[in-house]
Amino acid sequence: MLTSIGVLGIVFGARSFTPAPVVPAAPPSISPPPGGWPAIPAHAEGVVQYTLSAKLDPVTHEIDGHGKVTLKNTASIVLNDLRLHLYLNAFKNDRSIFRRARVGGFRGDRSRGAGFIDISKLVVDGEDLWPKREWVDHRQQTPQDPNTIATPSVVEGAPDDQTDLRIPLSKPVPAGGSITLEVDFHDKLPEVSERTGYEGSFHFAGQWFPKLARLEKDGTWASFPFHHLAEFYADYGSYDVTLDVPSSFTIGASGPLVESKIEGSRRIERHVIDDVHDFAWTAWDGFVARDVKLEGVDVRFLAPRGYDAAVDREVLSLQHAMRDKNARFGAYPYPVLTVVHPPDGADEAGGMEYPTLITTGGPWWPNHGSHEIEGVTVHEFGHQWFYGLVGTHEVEWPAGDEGFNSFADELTLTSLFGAGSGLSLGPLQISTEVFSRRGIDATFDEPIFQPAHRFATGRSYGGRVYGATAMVLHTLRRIYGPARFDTAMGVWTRRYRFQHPRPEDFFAVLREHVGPDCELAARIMTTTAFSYDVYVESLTSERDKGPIGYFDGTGGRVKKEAEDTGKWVSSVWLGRRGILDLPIDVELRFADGTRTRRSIRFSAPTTAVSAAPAPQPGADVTAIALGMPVEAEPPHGPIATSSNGTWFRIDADGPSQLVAVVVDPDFKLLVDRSRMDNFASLPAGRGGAPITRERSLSWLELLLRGVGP
Amino acid sequence: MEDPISVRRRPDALVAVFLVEAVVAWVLAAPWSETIARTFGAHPDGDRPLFWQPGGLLLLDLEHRLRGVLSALVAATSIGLAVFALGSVVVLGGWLAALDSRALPLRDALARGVSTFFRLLGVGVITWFAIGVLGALLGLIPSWGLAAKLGHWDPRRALLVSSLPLLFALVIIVVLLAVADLARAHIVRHDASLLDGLTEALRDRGRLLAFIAVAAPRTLASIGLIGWGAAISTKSDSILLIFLAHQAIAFARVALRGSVLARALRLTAPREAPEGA
Repeated sequence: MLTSIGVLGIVFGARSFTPAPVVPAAPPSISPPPGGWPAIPAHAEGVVQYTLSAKLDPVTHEIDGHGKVTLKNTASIVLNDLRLHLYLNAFKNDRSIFRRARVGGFRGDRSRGAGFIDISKLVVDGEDLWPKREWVDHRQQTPQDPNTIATPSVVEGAPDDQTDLRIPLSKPVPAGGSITLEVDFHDKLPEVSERTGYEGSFHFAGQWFPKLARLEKDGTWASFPFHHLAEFYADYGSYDVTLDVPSSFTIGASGPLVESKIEGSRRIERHVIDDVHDFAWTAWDGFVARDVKLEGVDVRFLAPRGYDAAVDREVLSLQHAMRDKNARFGAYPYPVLTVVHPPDGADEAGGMEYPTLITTGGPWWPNHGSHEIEGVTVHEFGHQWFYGLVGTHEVEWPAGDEGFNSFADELTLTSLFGAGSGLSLGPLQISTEVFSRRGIDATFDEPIFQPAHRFATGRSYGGRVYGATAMVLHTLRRIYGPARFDTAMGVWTRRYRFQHPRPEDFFAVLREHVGPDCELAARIMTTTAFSYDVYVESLTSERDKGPIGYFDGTGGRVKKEAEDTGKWVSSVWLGRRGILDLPIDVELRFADGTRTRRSIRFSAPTTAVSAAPAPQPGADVTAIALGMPVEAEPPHGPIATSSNGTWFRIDADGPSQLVAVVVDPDFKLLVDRSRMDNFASLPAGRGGAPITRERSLSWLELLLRGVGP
Repeated sequence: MEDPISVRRRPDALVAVFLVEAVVAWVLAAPWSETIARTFGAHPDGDRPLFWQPGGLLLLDLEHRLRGVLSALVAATSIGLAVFALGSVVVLGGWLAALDSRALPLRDALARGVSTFFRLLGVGVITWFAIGVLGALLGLIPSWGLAAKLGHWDPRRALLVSSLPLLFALVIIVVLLAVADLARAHIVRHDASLLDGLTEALRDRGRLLAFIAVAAPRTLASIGLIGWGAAISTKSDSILLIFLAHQAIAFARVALRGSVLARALRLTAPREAPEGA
């Protein structure tokens, strides 16, 4: 009997905290704009063409590379030079900008073993241009760089950071012309750090080849050093890559496999893909592959042995994400996708996006309460749109990919898991938005739309770029309506597929599909150091005793005594910090149990109600005389509002006492810095904390039993 | 002749122990509920939105805002628990004394608890020291070592294998806890020394196993009741119902502990009758 009570209690207790199983939901219905969705181009304008081969030595962790790179001059001017990125040199020494920037902890450990890329030959039309190379010195162009222009390099003759390179051309390339480089290079991979490198025999090659900077239409090069907080930016093109690894290794790479063979002890695979702007690959002799067809896409999951439960979760969340994102942002256009789950110890390779290849991460055990694995998988897959298909400048505008993608994640995860999209433990349902909200309280109120290297710290970057951007977009969506906002986001991702849009393009889409009011709010929230808080300053509600005192009239002086009119005189004062002016819902609660809601704006009290009905008996005549809007609202009597832009007053005189006010009861204002001041009640503190009292009491009884007699 | 020793024989002691724990819990819980009430009590729905608002937006906002205060509360509560743990040694002695004699007034029983305080405290210290040392030597360290060596295995199998030392350590811990209870019973019943208590507890292996056989299902039931409490709190949104259920469970868990202590006394050698009796 006792044993049964114990066992059943453990089982039921565990079950009550285990969420119900989920299945991929039907895709959302997103309304196209009038006239239909913008036409989606079938292909990108192919600006670059990479034909590369790479041979991996898994013992020395080195890659021998060779290849041809062709660039089409799509700019309107003659090209006299090329700009190349050697990103792998970010790991070369501790004086690279990547490692020396004082940004604190974000995105992993920068101090792990060194790696680099050497070029031995860079030939154009038979001429080796490598000896003519000019390193571009970016010292102190970012706030976190401790090196001043006057700081000498450790070794004379070359800058410490060798991630950005200029190659003067002997023969200029005319507009519309092309140039082909033949390049030999040699990589030494670092211990896995910031998505690239090795751990044991696991290898992940990201940023592994000499990469052309993006050529803007005006002929300027969008080049930059590899910064710890920044990512990448490149032209679309095609990649034809042949990989050569030991035959016992399994390869995962961008693009479809078009050729595979074993030659002696080596495995050779050729992967070819168009319409992308990067290429990454992985090779390991510990991968277990699972191939699944999801929404018409051949998906290959590569994970360590024993990670079946984790892969199950990745399959489920990816299937749901594909349906959700295809409907929202236009269909995923590539035939393949590879999902890499790095082994223990190589976590730094996890959580990264490349075209048609993403890396995820998380524990192997089936922990269904925390949605860590699903969250990472959905996020990295979402990057196929927000960076991949919409090729925003990740360095100059990191919010355009990370922030937009975080917003999109939350929609996807909420449609899969409901309120517990971040964590689901019995009654404790924590949404992913809650974690993003921390970005509102990030260390500094820095503008959200600014270059990655301008953020003061990694924490500020992470909070503002990921969290605050998502909160801004959620707020706009909730305030101006999910239907219109989802349409705007659908237009954004379809109109700018295979393009390189800028923030101004985004504001234009908002203006066009949601309205100028939304555009203005978006501008304030993203381009200024905005901070916003709306709060209840005070709430009063007293018996109306009628006129009291002496009143002179034609009939002489009249003395009025206090009397019970049966009415209440009630007012609420709301305050606002910051210049942002969004429509705000306010809920008023009366003693008779009824509630009423008003949508208010601090700067426009007279527009809140365009056609005020005739005042009812007992209405606030002062408000009416000042032209304030007055509404009849039986049974409470009239509601009058007034404001000077900084404060907002609501008068709700009537037969029932006003006992409480709640600002933004539906949680639309996710950018509201503090929600602890969004309510008031009479008598003050009447709500108390009964649940906390019960919970803390029972928890403490539990603990006391543990240490007690 | 007295009834067999059982927890039912001294309901007054049972209720007293429950009340002591409930009152101390109430005192330690007060700063928590008062902090939340002062921060969030202005909400017309009280703290319901904190816990029952899907998404946890307000709960996490509150945690963010009160982080420093919550750390202080955790520290204060920990100190309170430590003080209670010391004081509970007296309560334990008193409870054993009350269970041992139907006629002994609670005040006298408590006095016995005071007189045996240091010996019972010694049993506790030795027991937990032994649990720490043996748990680490026989459980944690071998388990970590195995986990590191089996890093190349399928993690599911590696976990199973590396957990074996932990299971072994758990058995040792159960034995140590049983020895401690038998020693406490002997010390209180015979006013024995700490050494005598431990020696007596370890003397008879059959008695030790018999005690474990009785105590294990009660302890399991006590743990299971926590699960029942969790299940109830997730199924109901009536705070009164949850409160009553949790208190009933707390009382039942005290009773189960009392039953274990009573059995320890029954398995301890009877007191010698006074000369001439």
